[in-house]
Amino acid sequence: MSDTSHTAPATWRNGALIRLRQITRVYQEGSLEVLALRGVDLDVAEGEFSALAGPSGSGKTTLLNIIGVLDHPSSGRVEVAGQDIGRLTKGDAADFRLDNVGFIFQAYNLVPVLTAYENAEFTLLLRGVPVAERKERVMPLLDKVGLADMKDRKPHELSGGQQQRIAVVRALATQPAIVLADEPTANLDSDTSAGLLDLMLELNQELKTTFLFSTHDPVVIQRARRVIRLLDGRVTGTEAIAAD
Amino acid sequence: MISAKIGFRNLARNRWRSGLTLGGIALSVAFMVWILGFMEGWMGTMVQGATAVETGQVQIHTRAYADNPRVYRSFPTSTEVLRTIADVDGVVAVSPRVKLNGLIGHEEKSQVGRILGVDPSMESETTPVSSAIEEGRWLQQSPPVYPAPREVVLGAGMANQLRVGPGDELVVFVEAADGSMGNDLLEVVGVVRTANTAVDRMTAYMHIEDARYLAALEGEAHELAIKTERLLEAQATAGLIASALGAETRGVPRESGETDANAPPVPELEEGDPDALLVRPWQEILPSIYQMLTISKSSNWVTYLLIYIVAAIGLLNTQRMSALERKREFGVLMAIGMRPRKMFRMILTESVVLGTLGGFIGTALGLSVVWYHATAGLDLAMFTDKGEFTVMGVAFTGKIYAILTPVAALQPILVMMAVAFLAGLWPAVKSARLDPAPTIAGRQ
Ligand SMILES: Nc1ncnc2c1ncn2[C@@H]1O[C@H](COP(=O)(O)OP(=O)(O)O)[C@@H](O)[C@H]1O
Ligand SMILES: [Mg+2]
Repeated sequence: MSDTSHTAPATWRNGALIRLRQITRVYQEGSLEVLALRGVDLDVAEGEFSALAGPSGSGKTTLLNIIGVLDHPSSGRVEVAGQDIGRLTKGDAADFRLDNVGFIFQAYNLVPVLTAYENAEFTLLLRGVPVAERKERVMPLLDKVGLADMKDRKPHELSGGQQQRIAVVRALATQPAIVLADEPTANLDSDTSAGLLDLMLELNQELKTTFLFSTHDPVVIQRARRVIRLLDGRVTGTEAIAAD
Repeated sequence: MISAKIGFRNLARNRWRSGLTLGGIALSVAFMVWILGFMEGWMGTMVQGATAVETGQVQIHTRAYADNPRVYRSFPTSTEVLRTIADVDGVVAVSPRVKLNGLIGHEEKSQVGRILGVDPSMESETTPVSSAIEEGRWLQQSPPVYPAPREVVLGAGMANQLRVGPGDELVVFVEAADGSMGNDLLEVVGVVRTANTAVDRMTAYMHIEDARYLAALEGEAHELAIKTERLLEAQATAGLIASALGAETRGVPRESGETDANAPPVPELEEGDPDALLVRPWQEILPSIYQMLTISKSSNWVTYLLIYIVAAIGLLNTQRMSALERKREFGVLMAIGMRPRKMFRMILTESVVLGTLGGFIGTALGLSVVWYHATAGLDLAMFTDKGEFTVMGVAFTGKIYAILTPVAALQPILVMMAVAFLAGLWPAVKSARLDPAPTIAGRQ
């Protein structure tokens, strides 16, 4: 397993980190066909801090899953980090995710029986990173998210916001090319949501890690640098938001 | 490593469920350990009870006597023959016997019985009869000289039946080898109570020279009873004895392993010398006991199988429930890059850890019960009102002592580990096949 560093391959260094062309995704629901995505074209450049905004059912999760190789498009072309990921096998997809993508989900992010620290270092463990190096990578991030002194707590001893911060640390520990977050604040109150977003933005600026997160929360949308509007499986527009 | 950590902590987290499953596995294993140790002791006691008192573990007769015992079908014994047998590897002792059927009694009561003419010291070394004296004493090595009455030691059942004890006089009538009737006056010198009550009811022991005189069998014997070192190797020892004597055998495996217990019975008086000596192990002399052992061994397999199947179902249920509960957690782990194979191993590890842990606890538990029953014994007679129990016509008093064998200690835990592995396969495969996206969304 290779350790992806921040020096990106030349093929996409100056181009788009994510390139979607005419992506469709059709789900078979019994005899019914559900068109979750109806031809999405999207480029996301390196270092972006972008929100996928849209109402429930608009296709946000489906789109993020396709970018994160958790799902395959029914048609169209997906390139992430210069690699065509439309047809990876299960095992290769797992490796691709481990090496290139950090995930933050809405809930059930952490392993309940592991401590905050053990959860945070999990992806490094999967990569076979030795213990000293794991500590070297995880501790500064735990410091950064303000949870260094809670590292030995179990998830149930942490608040929802704290749990999501641990998930952020885990996502960033492997220094992935991109962090995908599917409604990371859906279970948080608005103050905590704002706090988490501020933290993510800070890390985006500092580490230059690309963030793509989905939401339908205006508080969260406000903090994005670019908003990609999704409706009924189509991108209806994108808008750039200037830094404050 | 991380999967073992997650596994252990999950087991600890679901204390009740893990505890119950662990308890079930431990009890199954403990029961298996106990039953294996007990069966070993039970079978040993069975065969010991059947062979030790009455037959010894290997016997030699003439071929004709083996097929149909008649008083005249005897053979001459010499000290050379006895020494040759005693020198065979695995032989502990050998006792020549004259076996007579007759009527024994006094004015008021008489009984048909078997008179066993024995050399007092050789018989003592071969069977525990002389140490089972309840009243009086064992036979003297040199018989009293005429006109003193000949000595007899009665089995407790027979003494009871005739209402006699040491000091009482009896008369005996036997069929002699020359067709005449031998009769004589006997004095009861002792009463024996062996572990085999059937033997005690019908046997009277006399000095072999007295018996020979009574039946006109000078220098002859009907039977050589041989005590071997190891009960279960009696067949091999019989083979060695036969080749040392140049005698025939029956019921001795031709090759190591296979026995001819299932071979068709040898026809009575088939061609060959009827006076030739025939060496037979207890398996051949007491086929009913041997068959019962074989049958109970194979029927035990059904019991064992059931125990393991029940344990496997318990384990499978626990692992499946646990995997179902943690589905979303697994989905996330696979999403962030855990390969399916690793997920598979993680679930399987948990199952094997449960099986192994339960196996150790159960083995410890089972071994302590076996150890207790190996030292204190288990009194099966207390389950009957007669104070004895009978199996296949052999009556036993006393206790069964479990025997601790390596098989009893190791087999159950090893089988349980394998069972745990097999029971873990299905939940492990199911978990490894999870599709992370719909799992996380709660659609699968
Ligand atoms: N596995 C699936 N099977 C069937 N329909 C699905 C599946 N996943 C998503 N859908 C449907 O696709 C559409 C888009 O869903 P989703 O991407 O989850 O939207 P969002 O995340 O924006 O709420 C919805 O109509 C949803 O019901
Ligand atoms: Mg969604």
